[in-house]
Amino acid sequence: MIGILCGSKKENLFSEKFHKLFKPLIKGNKIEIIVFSLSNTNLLDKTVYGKIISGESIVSAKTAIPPLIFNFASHYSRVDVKKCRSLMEVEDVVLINSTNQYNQYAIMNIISSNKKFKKLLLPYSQLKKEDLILNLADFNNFILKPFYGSNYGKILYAKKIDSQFNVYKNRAFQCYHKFDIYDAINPIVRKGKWIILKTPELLTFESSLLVTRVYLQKSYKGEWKILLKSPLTQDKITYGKLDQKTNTALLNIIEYINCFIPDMGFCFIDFTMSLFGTPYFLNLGGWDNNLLNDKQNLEAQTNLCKNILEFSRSHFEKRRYPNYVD
Amino acid sequence: MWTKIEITPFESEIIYLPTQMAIGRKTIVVKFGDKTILASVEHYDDLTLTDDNSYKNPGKIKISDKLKSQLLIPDMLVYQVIANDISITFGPIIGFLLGIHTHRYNPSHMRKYSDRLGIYNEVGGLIYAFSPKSINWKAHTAYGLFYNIVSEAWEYGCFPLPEAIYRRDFHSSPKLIKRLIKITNGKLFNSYRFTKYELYDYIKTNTELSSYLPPTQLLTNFEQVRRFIEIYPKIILKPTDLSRGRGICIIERFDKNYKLTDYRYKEPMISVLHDYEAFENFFTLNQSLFDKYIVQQYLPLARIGSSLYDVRVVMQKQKDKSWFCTGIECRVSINSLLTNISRGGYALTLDEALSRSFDSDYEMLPQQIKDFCQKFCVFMDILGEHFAEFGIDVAIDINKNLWLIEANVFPSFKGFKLTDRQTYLSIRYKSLIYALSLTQFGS
Repeated sequence: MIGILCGSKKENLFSEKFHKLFKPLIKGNKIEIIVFSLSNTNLLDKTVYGKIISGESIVSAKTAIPPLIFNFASHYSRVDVKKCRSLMEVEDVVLINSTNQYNQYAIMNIISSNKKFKKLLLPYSQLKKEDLILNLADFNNFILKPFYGSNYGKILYAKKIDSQFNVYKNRAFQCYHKFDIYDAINPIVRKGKWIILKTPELLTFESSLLVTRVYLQKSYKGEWKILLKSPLTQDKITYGKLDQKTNTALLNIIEYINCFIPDMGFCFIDFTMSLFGTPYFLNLGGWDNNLLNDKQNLEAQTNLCKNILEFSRSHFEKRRYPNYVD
Repeated sequence: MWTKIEITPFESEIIYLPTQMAIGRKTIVVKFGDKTILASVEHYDDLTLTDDNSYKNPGKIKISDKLKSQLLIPDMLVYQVIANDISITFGPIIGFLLGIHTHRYNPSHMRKYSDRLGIYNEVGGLIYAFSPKSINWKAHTAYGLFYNIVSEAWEYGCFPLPEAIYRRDFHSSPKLIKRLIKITNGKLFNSYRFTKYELYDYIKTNTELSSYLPPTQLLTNFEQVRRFIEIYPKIILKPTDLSRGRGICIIERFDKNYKLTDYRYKEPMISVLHDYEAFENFFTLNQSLFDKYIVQQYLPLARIGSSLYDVRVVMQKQKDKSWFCTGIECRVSINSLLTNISRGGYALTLDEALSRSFDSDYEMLPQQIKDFCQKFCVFMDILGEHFAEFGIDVAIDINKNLWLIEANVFPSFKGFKLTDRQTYLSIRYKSLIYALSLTQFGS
């Protein structure tokens, strides 16, 4: 039994989408798949209540906690985060992507610990109050992004032109005099922790910072593959320029991060580019619902499901050996 | 001998030694953990090795960057060195074994471990934290976070498996732990965490120690509860595998009524059941109390004023592998039937607690407590596991009898942190000193 863990309100959506995708792939195979949420997981009884999607039609059922679970949910509440941790600790249960939200500062620290990847990182530090009050006007171009998560809408790019900043945020653009930048930014960064990245001039398109999202997935052999590359802005032309070198660099980065966070099975990396086409790492995320929502991504969705099946077969096969440990 | 390492660019494996370390050979085996690399030797006059060599005044050894990358040795640390004619070994490598939640292990998570490194000047070498999930078993390496004594921060890297491992989590697969025990030749300590009932079951096999155990049973059905509450007017139900007072339920019988204080909720829930039927019904509706729970007599404990208290004794192994009591604190409850500090209690020294609790004749109790804990630890060692620290909870009843409440392999020292910072730090340091004693640099 394979488990697909999704958000509490998304059981219907996920079971329908995945039922369509898995149906042609599992014909004739005995493998069973259940879509369930954390709120329908009983850790005491070690059971889940969800929707079995591996048959001709979708059927609601209660089963034992599946031994292999792919997590497509983002858990925000303390209770859910704790429950997800406890789910991970259930004996003989393997949870792929135990989280889909990462501490970006820690991820950047991981990347910077390997000399090979340092050039893909922009100089970064945690935004301090004194930077905000005293130094911001003297900075050149910079990006502000939250410590946690990978929400494109929260990324702010400020490009300095003479005594003013052009500020790009959430597909909108505004100009500020450099002495007004504090007033513009303070309300945004007042809550939570933020990271500041000092940047060269970056590619923008219309009123947006150009960010490309690359979806990746780990094969059953442990190799990472690119599932899909998709611009978060509408500039398809620049996106097309991504070269093999960038692809290889991204695959190497994710392979390295995966050494520290081994339960990652799928993820996305956002990166931005300088005017000269140099890519820079921006964010790492786990699962992105957009991959499943967009009809244009059918090929990637199918590959995702194929890979889940291959991964699962290999996982269950390995488990048959008595000396195998996860 | 203490030394720092300097890296020099070169595309083959070379080690540059001070002339005082002249070995008359062209090659030498360089070891770091189980990484063993044959390197060419060169001697340099400008590499110093003074007579007053110490952590504060270490010598300097240069290695080529190729050798560094093969040894996986961080270059900013101060190492102990054991050298002879054929080999030179850098170390020690000590590991903190974390759990399975790898995405949580980052420099800010690790900050809580930093105060243990106050003893780094006596240990030196590489101290890093890792998850059993981030081990590369083929390469005998692990990805984790090491303590950079220069930046005083935890930094990511890949390192050889440690020589000694201090287990800090108990949610990993027992198979992985066994594998690590084998690789380290048993130098993984806190190798096992027993449940409350396993402990009871084991201790009761020792005639002397069993007299310190309150009447206890593994709870499987209501009949047991009925029998216990008939014999003892007050009983306590405890989850076998939880600590810090979580999941506890206390039941008191008076006349035909049953008072339940249920700590399974955020705030303790008190209910009074007015007849036996309601009491039985409570258990019908709370079947989880028959899953991994024990039932015990609730002891008539000594009090300070109206508050209950118990004694937390920290026993740790020293570098000569003997057990030693490194701290005793009393945990006093505030308006609670539980004494856990995490439940809002406060800490007192043993002397203060005893003097406030008993008018006289308590002078022998501290020694009795220490003697009991010493015997307990020695008996636990017979199990064949590798233990090196226990937090033993001892209760004293109104007749000055001692009772073993529970023992934790992985105790918290919160009370000491608040009341006695020096003892707290000394407890924190002890486990690193013990880990060092397990390595070849220990002597």
